[in-house]
Amino acid sequence: MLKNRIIRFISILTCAAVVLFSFVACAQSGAPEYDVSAPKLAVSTEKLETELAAFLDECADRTTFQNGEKQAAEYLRARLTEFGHEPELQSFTVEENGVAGLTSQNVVARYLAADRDDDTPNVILGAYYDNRYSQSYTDAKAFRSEAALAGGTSVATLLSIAEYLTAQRPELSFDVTLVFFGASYIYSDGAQAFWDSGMTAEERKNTVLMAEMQRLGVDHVYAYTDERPTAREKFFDDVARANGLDVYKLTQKTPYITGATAYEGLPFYRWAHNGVFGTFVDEGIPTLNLVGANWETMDLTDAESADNKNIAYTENDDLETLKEYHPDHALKMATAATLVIRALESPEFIEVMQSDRDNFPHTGLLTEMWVWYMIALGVTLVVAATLILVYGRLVKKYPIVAPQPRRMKMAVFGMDYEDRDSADIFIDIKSSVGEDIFPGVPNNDNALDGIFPPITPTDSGGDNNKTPSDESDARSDNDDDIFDGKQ
Amino acid sequence: MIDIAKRRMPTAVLGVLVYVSYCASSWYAMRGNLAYVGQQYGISGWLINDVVAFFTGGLLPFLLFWFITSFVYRPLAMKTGGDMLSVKYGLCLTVAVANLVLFAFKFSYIAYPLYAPIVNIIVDPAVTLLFVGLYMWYVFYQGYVQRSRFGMALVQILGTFAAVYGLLALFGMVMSVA
Repeated sequence: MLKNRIIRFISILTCAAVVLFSFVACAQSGAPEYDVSAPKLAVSTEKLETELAAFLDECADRTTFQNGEKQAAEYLRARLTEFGHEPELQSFTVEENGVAGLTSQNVVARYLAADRDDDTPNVILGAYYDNRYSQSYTDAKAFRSEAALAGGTSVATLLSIAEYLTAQRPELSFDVTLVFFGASYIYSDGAQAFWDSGMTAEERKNTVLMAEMQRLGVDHVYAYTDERPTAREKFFDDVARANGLDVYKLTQKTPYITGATAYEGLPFYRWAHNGVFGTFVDEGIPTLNLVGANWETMDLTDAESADNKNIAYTENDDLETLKEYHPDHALKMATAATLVIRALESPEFIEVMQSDRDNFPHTGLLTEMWVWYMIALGVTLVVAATLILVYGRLVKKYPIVAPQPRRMKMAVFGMDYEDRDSADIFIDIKSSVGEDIFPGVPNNDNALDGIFPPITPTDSGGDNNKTPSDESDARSDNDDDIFDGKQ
Repeated sequence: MIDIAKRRMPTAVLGVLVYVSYCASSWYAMRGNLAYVGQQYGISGWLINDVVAFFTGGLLPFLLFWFITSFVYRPLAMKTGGDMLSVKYGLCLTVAVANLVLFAFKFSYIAYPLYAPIVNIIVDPAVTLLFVGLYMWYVFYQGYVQRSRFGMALVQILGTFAAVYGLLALFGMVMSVA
């Protein structure tokens, strides 16, 4: 019996596990469904590797708010100048974790449209360049790594795009603003400062896309636009397909973390929501997040790779480890750079981005969770109210009849003298025992003549004056006679 | 009317069925919770997967259900009399079915993930209360409990479900504005 129960128990659990595995295994993959064996890259992988190595070699310590970050900013300005841009450093001051007066800087370069006016659209391409090699301020965490993956690869990719623009000089109908964000390794201070004070009002109004590059070089490159339907998702898919680029899309395998949100309008958080681009989403700007990850396995965490542990934001985030874990990291960087470049060069690009900007979805109500909980509360209150009504009706229709206490009584004079409708239980002595209540003893109907003879009145008239003792005396005399045997 | 309590499965099997049903209905939300916890505390990725999410997601709701049901059952049985054992058995089956319906319904989240958290908040209590309400209607006509005592049983059972969901909604509302 116990064995059967155990078998049933295990069977149910096994069925559940098999069904579950089937669902997971059959879940849609984010891999591209076209041939990616021969991508048409716009930048060379060797150039990217060189750019990355040089950057990390010069700027290993780029600690936020410290001298290292400033030196890195100067390095980037110099590189952009070499490419032919006119970069500027935009300093800003922020407060972080209660520490005020922290200064950093963004490095900004603009590739302007051929024909410009006040309404020329603007596209922002960004990557953060700082790290937390040492402590940024007291009690701040230090990672003791050069952030080769967390920031280095993205910087190198953006530099390659900057170089491409000035080298190839594509004629674009929009401005391209290249921004290297400071103070954005942990928070998005640089991105926020850029939006607040690094752009003119016109630029803010005309910005149609913000594309961020981060953590490039691991297993896959994901292109994430929005959870809500957009025109640009298909556009970027088409660009990737046309160039044979190995660009992944998010699928249901990536979990939805409810109870948290990265930016306005979405009632959940996903790994692809990490990044500084969220600052621009909150301002109603369409975005593109090119992020390196592997979200295709059963691992629900923000995994970089199926085969290796994460290195970004750890002390192992250096170039040697990156090369060891991800030898084809430069190919991933080139993939991301090519996607951006070919998208910019596409004739449909600005039309699609403008359309998404004009039709930016505003779904703020979805994040007002108190509204939805209130509706749920309302549902339970309706049920409670219905319950009360039903209960009242039931009690009325089917009242509880409380049983009356029943007592046991003796019908001394027979049931004729008792209330037959009473709930009490009667013992009818008269009918049950017949004439003799006490066997051998005459019952009440017949006088106990033998014991108590009837009293006869006498002439002395004094009968009425006879006292009971007189009467008993008389009886006593008789008794004597009885006991004398004379009767 | 079919008497579902006529052929009873063993309590252990019933318990497993209810537990697995809670696992199924909580799986979607638990994926996200587990992913967050794993990422936050650096828990190894091989522990943070769908299978673990499935079997851990149902643990708390199942324990809560089993505890509350046991807590409510004994005093209710004493007050109302009748075949409360069958009522309890049928309630477990009802909850299991409701959870499986919810699990099937949540596949719609694949098509509309944007609305999933909101639908989750509203649909979970609505479907469960509906099923329990229908089940109590069945109990009434099956005569497991005397009709004069049925109101008491209805209030205790359905009222407990409504109270728990109401408290959860209230808690969620407070946390969302805090």
